[in-house]
Order: sequence, then structure tokens, then C-alpha cells
Amino acid sequence: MFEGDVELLNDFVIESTEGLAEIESNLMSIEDQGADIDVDLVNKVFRAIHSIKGAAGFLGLERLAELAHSLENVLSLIRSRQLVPTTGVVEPLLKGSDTLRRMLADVINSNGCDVSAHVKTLAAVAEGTASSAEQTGDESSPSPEPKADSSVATAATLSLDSADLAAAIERGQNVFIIDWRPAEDIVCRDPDGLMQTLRDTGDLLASTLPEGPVQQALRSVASFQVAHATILTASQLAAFFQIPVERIREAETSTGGAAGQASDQAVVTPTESISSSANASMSTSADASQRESAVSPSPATHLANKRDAETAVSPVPASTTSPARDHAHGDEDRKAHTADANIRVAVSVLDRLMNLAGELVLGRNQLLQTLGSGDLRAIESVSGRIDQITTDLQETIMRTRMQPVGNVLGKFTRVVRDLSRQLGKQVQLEIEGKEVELDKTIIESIGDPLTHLVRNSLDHGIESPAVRAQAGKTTMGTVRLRALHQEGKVLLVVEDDGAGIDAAKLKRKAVEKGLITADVADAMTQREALQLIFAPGFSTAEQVTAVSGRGVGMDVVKTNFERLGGHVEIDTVVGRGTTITVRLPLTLAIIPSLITSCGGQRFAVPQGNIRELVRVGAAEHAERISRVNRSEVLRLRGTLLPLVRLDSVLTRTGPSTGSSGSDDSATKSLATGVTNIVVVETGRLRYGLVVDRLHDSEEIVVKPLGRHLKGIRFLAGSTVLGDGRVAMILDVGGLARRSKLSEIQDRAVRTQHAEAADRQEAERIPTLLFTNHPREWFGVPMSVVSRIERVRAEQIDSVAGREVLQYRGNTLTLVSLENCVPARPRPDQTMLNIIVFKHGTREMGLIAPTVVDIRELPSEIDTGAFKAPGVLGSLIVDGHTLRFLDVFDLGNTQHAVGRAAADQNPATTGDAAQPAPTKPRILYAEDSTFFRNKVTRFMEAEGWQVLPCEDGQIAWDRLSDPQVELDLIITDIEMPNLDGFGLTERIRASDRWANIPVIAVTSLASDTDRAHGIAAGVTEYMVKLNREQLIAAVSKILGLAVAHSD
Amino acid sequence: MTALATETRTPPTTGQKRQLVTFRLGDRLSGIPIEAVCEILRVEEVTPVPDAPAVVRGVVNLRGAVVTVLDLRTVLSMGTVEIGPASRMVVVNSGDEIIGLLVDRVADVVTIDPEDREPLPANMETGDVRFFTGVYRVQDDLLVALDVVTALAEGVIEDD
Repeated sequence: MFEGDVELLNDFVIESTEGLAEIESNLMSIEDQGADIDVDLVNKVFRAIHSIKGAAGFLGLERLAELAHSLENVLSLIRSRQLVPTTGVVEPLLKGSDTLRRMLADVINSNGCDVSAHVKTLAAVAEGTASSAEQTGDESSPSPEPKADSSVATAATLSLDSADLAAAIERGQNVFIIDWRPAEDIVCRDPDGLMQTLRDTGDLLASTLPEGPVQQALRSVASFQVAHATILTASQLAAFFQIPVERIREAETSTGGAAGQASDQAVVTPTESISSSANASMSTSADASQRESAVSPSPATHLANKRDAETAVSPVPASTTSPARDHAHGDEDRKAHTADANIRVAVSVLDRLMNLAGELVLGRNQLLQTLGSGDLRAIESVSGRIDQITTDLQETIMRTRMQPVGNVLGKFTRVVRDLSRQLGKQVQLEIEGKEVELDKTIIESIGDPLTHLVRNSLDHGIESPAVRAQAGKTTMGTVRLRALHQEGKVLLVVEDDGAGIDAAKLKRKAVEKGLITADVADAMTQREALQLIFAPGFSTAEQVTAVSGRGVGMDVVKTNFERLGGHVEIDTVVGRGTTITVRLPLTLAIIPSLITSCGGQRFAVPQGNIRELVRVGAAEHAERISRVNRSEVLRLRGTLLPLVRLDSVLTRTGPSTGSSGSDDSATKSLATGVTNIVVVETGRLRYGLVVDRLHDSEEIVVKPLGRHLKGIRFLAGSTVLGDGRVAMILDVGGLARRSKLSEIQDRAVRTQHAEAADRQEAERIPTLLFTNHPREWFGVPMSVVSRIERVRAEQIDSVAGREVLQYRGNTLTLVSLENCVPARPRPDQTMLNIIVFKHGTREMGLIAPTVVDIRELPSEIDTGAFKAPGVLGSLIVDGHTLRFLDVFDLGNTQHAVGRAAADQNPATTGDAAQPAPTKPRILYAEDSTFFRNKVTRFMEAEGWQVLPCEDGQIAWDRLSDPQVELDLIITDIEMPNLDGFGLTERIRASDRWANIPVIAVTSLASDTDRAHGIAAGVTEYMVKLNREQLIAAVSKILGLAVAHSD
Repeated sequence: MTALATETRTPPTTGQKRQLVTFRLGDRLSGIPIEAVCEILRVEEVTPVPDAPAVVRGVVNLRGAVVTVLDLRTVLSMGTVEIGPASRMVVVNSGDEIIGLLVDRVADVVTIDPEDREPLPANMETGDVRFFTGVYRVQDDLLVALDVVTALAEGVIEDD
């Protein structure tokens, strides 16, 4: 029904939703500030609402426009300081913006929403001031000047009978909604003539003119609308009536008597008092912009202002609600219009994609050519190139799916505000890392479980003010929500400074509920006890409250995150607070997997689920694999692990009867001699999956299964392997359920000590132990190890201060421990081990001369003794002090070291070896959020400290702060309030910053600009935006600066 | 699926001639409306899917997409298609999804005239009549027109 305008409508929804995203928190800040308002902030909210109003009017979304208009009125009063934003004022604004958002989510039916309640409340709010304001006298005479006149918009809805409309259209007539302003329009001076003309030119279908003699009616309103069916065009009509063509818009028909429905509704008239009070306030204010906005009248008129007569985009109908959806108001669940199927992609990313596609075509052509020549080496080089392009392409496409996590985190300001009020607690919410990006699918799915975590923190974590005061804490509790990158994953952290979780209490409760026996409880460590929270049917609240007692337990939260490939950890100190950390992968569409085969078929097992691989030889078989309770178990380092034989799952038809019945396969694997076991973990479950063979690890692209196969729970999807054959992706959790493993394990948790011991295993970290210098032991968690390569020492090259390894056609950057952490150098030996790990999107290698063992080590490590960048802590193993390494950190250090070494004199390697020199501090002024985030992120990735500012003026304000210390300033040129030239001039003129290097990054690249920049005092002038160049320039300048200060 | 539904469900009594892609399942000649067919392919390796409904023979990689392959014999309760040099996969477009139908061998495209519609012979090994939209006399043979939509719905387990 919106045919031609669907795109426009989608844009509107996306833009408005974005605009609304921040309104909540801004409104709350406004409320906090009270009478001492931040005009900029109010303006920001005002502008967001204002543009919704404008666009909604333009699109004929009258209810939206109406509500936005009411909101705008109140905001305008706040802005002009006639209204103090107390809770009483802000609450209706919040509620109104909620409704706006809801209407936007189902924009097609938004006209069916009844907003009169909001309008009334908001009017009352506005009225409250109007009566207290001094100049109430003006109110009664709303037409001191013609301009103001028009603002008294009669927003009475035009009741248009859909049958009339349809009939008119059938007759070949156009139906126009015409806006009349009796005071301005000459034709209106002759009312009878007007009516006659309307009749002459077509049929008058409806009008908002009050009943009674036309003459009087005309005088009583400032504007009115008529629906006019005619064979004339809009411009002809305009000429005829001598009114601007902008005030004529086309009414479109819609299916199912939509317009008729509008007439069924009570005609909503925004109370006259809003308009007039707003009007009154306006005339007292000198604020020009406010005047302008207050003048923007009814939606229809607004449309007129916006619309260009020539490019007239045909606006959407006034009412498109189908009668069936009449009372759908407030139905939040109804899925929105196609709008959420859209995603915003930066043009630069698209350009990059386009380039890559071009390169791919080139590569293909080369390949075809070379294939003809039969030159094997040439083919190799071309395929290397294609490989590179494909990787780039994949990464870039992934980037189009990435969205800032702030979209989700932002809403918690409101959740926390409402909830703390409800609970009678004082809680402040701190949000960090809004700009961290995650795949769209993940972003969409983390909202609910995260809400649950935040709710829990407020309900169970933060104590009431009295209790807090007693405990010597501030009465105001704090919940921190953080998002950050770590080890190539995204971490979401929910942290509170509340009461913490009492492990003893948890145990008691679990015993009471019969989840575990008292014996098992006694044997549990604190960490294990905490895991009880995730047990199904466990609720920690003393009593179930309205807030948390929704029948959804932490087990569901955990499952939800795990479905996304995530991992939940919990950490608590009684009396101090609780930290819950969720680790999420960046994306779901491509997952690293281990390819295994069973029964001649290949299956992919997601790496995220794999803990380790175990190979049991024929000789050990009897000793390591045995039966407990009719199920097969693997003896693994003193614990028992249930086994699932994939082949028995495959051959079974219909539901299984426990994991027995695998005798055949057991004998079979006995015959072949070796049993390959993939130890997998999902949720609380950990088991061994027995497969025939293990193949390579591959990054696989997930392909959904058709509708016949969707119901198979132990398959997560399928993928096409390198040879073109299809392989199924196993769902480790589903497989466990399928084999009734959960039951076995649940029973085990209650009854078996052996199994309890197995659970204990879960809190230990499989760790790779190695030595650098033979007497210094180090450990790396197996989870970060991609693989281990064994190389000859002479294969390692040294390039520009970095050690690299040429391997598999790529260059692998290596990390030498002694360059990154205080450690003795490795001995000379012919063969070395390289631990390959992922660092961001690339791989790096850590040189581990001698690998000692892989062990499960307790995760409680001493973090004090050897604290250094790259070292997580230490532990005593077999009488050796073992340092636990953070390879990601090491990678960062190495990156910086390499870069510094490359950029500086080779002679300074001594300096370079020093871990993490003081971070350069950089101020970055840029008004484009995209560039600001992007550049900030990549500079931070360099280990630099960045102070982002969204405008030159803000940057200048920051510079005036004596606390701020900086090494360099990077500025955009074009910025709204203070541009880069102005900023640089001020910097150069100041005492404090006169000598600081300033790099201008800009899209302006003409020589005059360059000259202008140099004249203003810019040190370096760069065109947007080449990461490598910028980093090189900064390094160069800072390198010089460092040398200078030495 | 609606588009397909309207096309294939059109009762063949309107007097209009229709074209069917025909194929053999054993001796029986069957056909489905030509509009539903995307392409006909040689059967390559079909990857079996564990725990799949009986009618699903497996999946194949069709130019990068993973496509479900149904055994049309199984759908019609006529045993299973034996994959050999003559067997083919009739790829049909089912609205939001592409599905392969395994048949013993394909025959011609046949134009049927509603006038030639015949009652179901009593002695015919019917298998499952639910999928028939009509039986037609084509030269010396009987052609069974199949209702693709119903056939494709076979074996789908409604989620929850």
C-alpha cells in the first residue's frame, strides 16, 4: 500500500528510531539537571522529535506527527526555561517517546494508534506552565501577526470515507487534501465563491471546517483542510485557488476501507490550548530557532514546507490501518514492517567491496589465463592472490553486518531508572564501550538475556540504601555495563557493587531444592557453588519479586548466550559485588570448525564447543573406556567423562534409549584399534564425542537447512566443504539431549561423587606449558591456541626488527617472549615450537622453544607477584613458578614493538624491547561518528590513548582543561561549530599548546586548503583516511617528539 | 509458496491446456506443472542427513546452496528411487526454498487437455492418492498429474 514510498518510509523509520535511541537517556539527564538545563541537550532532543514530526507529516503519518507535535511543545517550553523538567514533566515525555517508538515499529498501522491520552497529558503539562507563566494575557488573542496565526493549527483529522475516496478514484479523479488558511487565502474572503469554486472544479468529499454557516466557520479557524476530488492536477488547483501548491497533497487510497476507519474513530483534536500556549510562549521568546519550530504547524502544512512542487514525491495516505488492526494499539509483539530488514552501511565499506569485487574478477581472469599456460608456479601465485582477496572480501562483508553494541546497551539507562524506582533503590548505571561492534544477529539476540542480568543485579545485587549505609557503602549503588574486545572476542560485562553472592547460601538452597546432596555441597569449592546459579530451577532471591521472578532462570540466560556461541562467567566477592562476564564471538555466519568423519560422512564440530581432542589407542582402551550406569565413560585425568558415539546416533532411527546400545560400534572401534574422541562442552555439560576420524580445522560458512530438516535438533546447519560436498554441522547441545546425556548427568550431579569430580574439572583451565629459557616456565590457555607448528630455527627471519616466519604462503609475525616480558632469552636450539594464535583477524605466533605438557590448571592464579603486560599471573606447577600469559596482550606489545622498531632507528632496539612505553595521548576532533569511532579504534589498537571530541569547540574546551595532557592533536577540517582551521589557529595562539603537533585529516584536498591549513599552523595535512598513512605519520611525529624530549 | 500454490492448484477443469514435465516412477508416468520446475539435473552425490524424515533422501550442493532432496517414490509410498545413470533430480521452486525431487527418469514435456481426463483405473497401483490432481490418457499411457504443493509438504515437521 505504500508502494512507491516504501523505501522512503523505511528510511524514515530507521532514521527516527536512531533519533529516538538516545532520547531516553537524554531526557533523563535533562530531568537530573532540573532547572539548570543544558540547552544543547534539550535542543538535541527537540531536534530529534522535530524531525520525526516533520517527516511523519510528510509521509501522512498523522498520529505520529500529532504525538511528536505534543512532545515538541513541552520540550520547547523546557528549552525556553518556562517549564522546569521535573519528574512530572519528564515522565509524560518518556511515555510519549515510548509510544512513538512503538508506533514506529509498526509504522504502517501507526495511524490506528490512539494517542489522545498522551496528547492530553502533554497538553496538561504544557498548560501547567502556561497558566503560571506571566504573559497569559496573549493567549486569548491568537492572531497578533499573520505568521503566528498559522501556528494555530487545526489538527482536526479529516474524516474521509474510503468508499467516497475509492469511488472518486474509480471515476478517474485525483483526490487532494488541501490546506486552507482563511487569513491568507484570498479566495476565502468570498466564502460562497470558494464553495462554488470547489464544487465547480470537482467534488468536495470532506472538510474539517466546523458545522454552521461557512462565513462564521471560516473566521473561527486559522486553517482547515478539505478533501477534494477533481480531474485537475495539483498545480492547476493551486493556480485556480491562488494558494501555494505545497499546500495541496494527494490522498491515496488504501485497501480495506482504511480511510473509513478514520471516520469511525473519535476525531482527535489536539487541545487548542497546546497550540495557543505554545504560541504564547513563543511570542515572549526572542529565540529565533524556537520561533521557527513553534511555527511549524500541522503535519500537513509541514509537509508543504518540505515538499518540492517539481519533485513531488507522492505522499502516503492519511490512514492506512486495516479495520482488523484497529485495536492493535500497544501490541508490541507484532512484528514491524520491513524496516528492520535494512541496515546502514558506510559508503566507504561499499566502495571497498566494489574494489574487492573488481580485484576478484581480475584474479579470476588471471587464473583462467594461467591455467591455460600450465605453469604451476604462476597458478600458485594467482591462487595466493585470490585467497587474499577472498579473505579481504569476507572481512569486509562481515563489517557490513557489524553494529555498535550501544544500540542494545543504551536502553538500559531506562531499565535501571524505572527498576530502581520500583525497588526503592538508588542505582546509577555506567555504560562503557557503546562503540564496540558485533554481528547484527548477535546484537538482536543479546537484549533479553542481558536485561535479565541487569535486572538481577538490581534486584539481588544492589542493596537498599539503608542496608548500604549500614555496610559503610555509598547509598547510591552502581551497575556498570561494559563492552570490550578481548582475544578476538567481545566481552560484555555486567558489574555491580552490591551484596555479592554468598556461596554458602547457594549451597544450602541447592540442597534444600534437592539439586545436590549435602555431601556434594560440602565438597564444592566456591567457584563450583557459584555455578549452581545456572542450574535449572534455581532462584536466589529470598522471595520471588515482581522484578526477577519471571520464571526465567539464569540457566536460560546462559543457554541463550551459549546459543550465540557465547560463554558466561561469574565472579563475586561477598559484600563487594558481582561481575558477570559474557564472551561472545564477533559473528555467527562463519564459524571455525573441526571437520570429523563418521560412517563415511563428514561432520563439522564448532571449535567453540571443543575443549580438547583425545586419542585412545587399542592398548589403553580397556583401561580408559569403561561403563558406568549403562553408559560409556572415558577416564580422563582422573575424572569420568560420558561418551556419545556419533555412529550410534547416526544409525539410530527414532528416539534413543539412553546412550547404551553402542556395543557394536564399541567392538568396531576396538577392531580398528584407535578411538578418536572430541571432548566438547555445552552449558554445564561436557562429554566425549566418539568419531571415526579427525580431519582439518576449517572456517566454514553456515548454510541453513531446508524446512524438512529444520526439526532435527542435533544439526545446527550445513556447510559446503572445499571439495564441494555437503557436511552437516553438529549441535553439541542437541546431540547431548538426543543421547539423553543431560539426564544422565543430572542424575550424576545428585548422586555420584565420580561425576562431581568431573564437574570440578570444569573449573580448571587446560593449559599448554612450555619453557622459554629452560628454567622459566610459562603457560598459555589452550583455548587461545589455534595450533602448534614445529619449525627449524633458521626458518625464522628478522625483518625490520620483527621476527617473522614464512609459512603456508603467508608471513606469520612472531613474538619472542624475552622481547615482551621480563624473561631470560631462549637458548639456541635447532627446532622450535610456534604457538599459533589469533590476534584480531590475523594470526601470530609465539615462540615456545620447548613444550612441556598440556595440563588442566586451577584458574585461581596469583595475579600479584608477576604482574606485567602480557602476564596474567603466576602459579606453582611441579615446583616451578609458571607464568600465565595473555597472548593477546603479547600480540599488542609485539605489534607496537615491531612498529616502533620499524619506524625508528634500528639502533633503538634496546628501547623497543622495553614493554609498553608510555602511551602517546592524542586528541581527535571529528564530527562524523563513523570516522571518530573508526579512527579512535584503530589508534587505540596501536596502544595509543585517544580523547575523541565530536566538534572543534568541544576539542577546544577539552584543551582548556589543565588536567588534560596531550602529545598530539588530530583534527577534521569541516566541523559544525568550530572547524579544524579555527581550532588550529586557537591552538597555535595559546600558550600551553602552541608547539603541539597538529595533524589535519580531511576530505578537502585542494592546494588552497592545504595552504590554508599550513597557514593555520597544521603540522601535517592528510587526506581521509588511510589507516596505514595516518599511523605512520603519527608514529613519525611522535617518534621525533620523543627524540626531542630525550 | 502462495505463487506456486495458485499456479499448481488451478483445477485442470477450466478447459485450458496445460504443460506438464513428466517422469517415470517405475512404470508409472507422472507429471508436474512446468511452471514449478526450475531445472532438471543429473543426480550427483546426495549427502544423507541423519534422523531426517523418510521422504528426505539427503542434501546436495547446488551452486553453493544446500538443497534438500526428496525421494518422490517415497513420497508416493512406492519404495525408493535407485540412483543410476537414468535417474534425475527435478528441481522445483517452492516459494522460499528450492527442493530437489528424485525420480527414476524423466520423460517429455506433455500438453494435457482437460478433456482427456480419465477416472482413476481401479486396477492401478495407486500408492497414495492424496497427491493426484488427475489422470490423463496420453497416447497409450496413463499420466498422473501430481499436486506439487502437497507433495513438498510431506515430511515437514512443524516446528514446535
